[in-house]
Amino acid sequence: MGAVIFHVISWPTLGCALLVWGFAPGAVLRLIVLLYPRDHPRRRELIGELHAHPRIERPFWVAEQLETALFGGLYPRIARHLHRLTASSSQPQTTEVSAASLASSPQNVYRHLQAGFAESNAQRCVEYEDNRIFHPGDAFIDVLRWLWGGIEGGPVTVAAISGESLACTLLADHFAAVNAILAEQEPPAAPMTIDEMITGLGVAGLGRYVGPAEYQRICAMIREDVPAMTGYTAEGKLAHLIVPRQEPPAGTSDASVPVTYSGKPREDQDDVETWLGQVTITEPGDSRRTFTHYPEHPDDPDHRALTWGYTGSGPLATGALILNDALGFGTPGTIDHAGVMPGGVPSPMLVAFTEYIVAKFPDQRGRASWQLSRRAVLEWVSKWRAENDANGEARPET
Amino acid sequence: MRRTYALVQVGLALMDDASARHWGYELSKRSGVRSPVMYRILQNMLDEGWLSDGWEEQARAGRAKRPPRRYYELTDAGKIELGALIAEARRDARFRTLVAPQIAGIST
Repeated sequence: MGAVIFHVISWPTLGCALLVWGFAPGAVLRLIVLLYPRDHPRRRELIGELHAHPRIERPFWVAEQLETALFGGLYPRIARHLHRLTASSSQPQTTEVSAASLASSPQNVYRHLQAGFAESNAQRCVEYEDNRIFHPGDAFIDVLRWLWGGIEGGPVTVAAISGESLACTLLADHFAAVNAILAEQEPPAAPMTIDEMITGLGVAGLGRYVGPAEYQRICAMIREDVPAMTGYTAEGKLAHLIVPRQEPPAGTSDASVPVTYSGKPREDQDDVETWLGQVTITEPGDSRRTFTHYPEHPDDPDHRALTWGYTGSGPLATGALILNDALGFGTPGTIDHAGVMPGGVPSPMLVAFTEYIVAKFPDQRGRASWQLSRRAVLEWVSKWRAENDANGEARPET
Repeated sequence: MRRTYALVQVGLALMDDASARHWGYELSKRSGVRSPVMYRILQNMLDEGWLSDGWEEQARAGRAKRPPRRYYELTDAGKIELGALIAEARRDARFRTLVAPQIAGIST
């Protein structure tokens, strides 16, 4: 016993205590706040508050926060985990719903959706409101009910953006997420349409909750806004970044004109890792046009930012910009203008161009510049057309 | 919300300047409530809609070379509810020592 007491009050122990509590309260606090769920605002709040305290008080204040974190962070976290375990054991596995049942029963779509939708909502709402609103595992209709309750002047105000646009953003996320899941199924399932989504909302009881007039208004809003906020049409098909499948107008695709496409990271970015690019089209006479998005879309510019060095929507946008210009379709000012065919999917040629050319551009910050001539693009197009049919199927060798 | 000694203390500190932004450290000092208890009360008030919250401007925090702080503001509902709560506390013998100086301060 005496030895234990000796160790407790020994100089090394005292030294460690001084080191941890006297010199590193910030580090200890950062460990303590990990007890809070990742999206909990108190994580940031406590770290911000530390600097408001006089240095002499900080070790004691940090010690107090352990209590705050245990009861305010760890306990709800465990409760939420237990709730999720209970819910998953009592409900059927929803991520393996067959395509047929998805198509036949709209409510299944929403059940299928709950896990992914609630999770993405939680993250997005954290981004928008910095705190507290949705949690993974929340039922879709509860989220929606809460959301519309908030719009109607309920207990929570949406500070960053209006509740209605937040609702639309959430529904748009949901619509795109479900269609992405359906498209990945083997074989690919029929996409969820806006009509199905609205039917599902009706089945889920939104009409009874908000009343018939408001329900009609919401449906009209969904019909108009949700497709515009996603890359999907009302039929659930990918709507953006489409290279036209008709032949280019005669005479506009001229390999002899010395046009160059050059790309480099945008200069107004602080984040070294996640840079976005800009592409400049230089024509004879040093005429230059620079793009940061493609196609430009006033309502939704962020989903069409230009990147390269991998395969994804950013490189697809870069590929579409280059191909559309090289093939003579121009560079549309909006998604509705020339060069884009709503209702289709990215053409096989665009997919191949993105995979074999754009994805190979250097993507490391400081070395992420490239240049390509129109002649080189058109040579690649000719070769691709010689080897593939319009559907991207390889032609039989003759 | 259950009326407790700590709740009344935090309520008094908030209502001391009902239209101001309140910061955690200062609020804890003025109310005399330990921060774990105070944060629980603030969370309950947020859930009840008595408070709204926000984050200090990034530029201001950047100038001070520290992370942004979270602030709390009383909502209109919060002002009404806390006003009623303090008025009831004044009539409640349990809180006499707490609210008496305030009453004396107002009357002088």
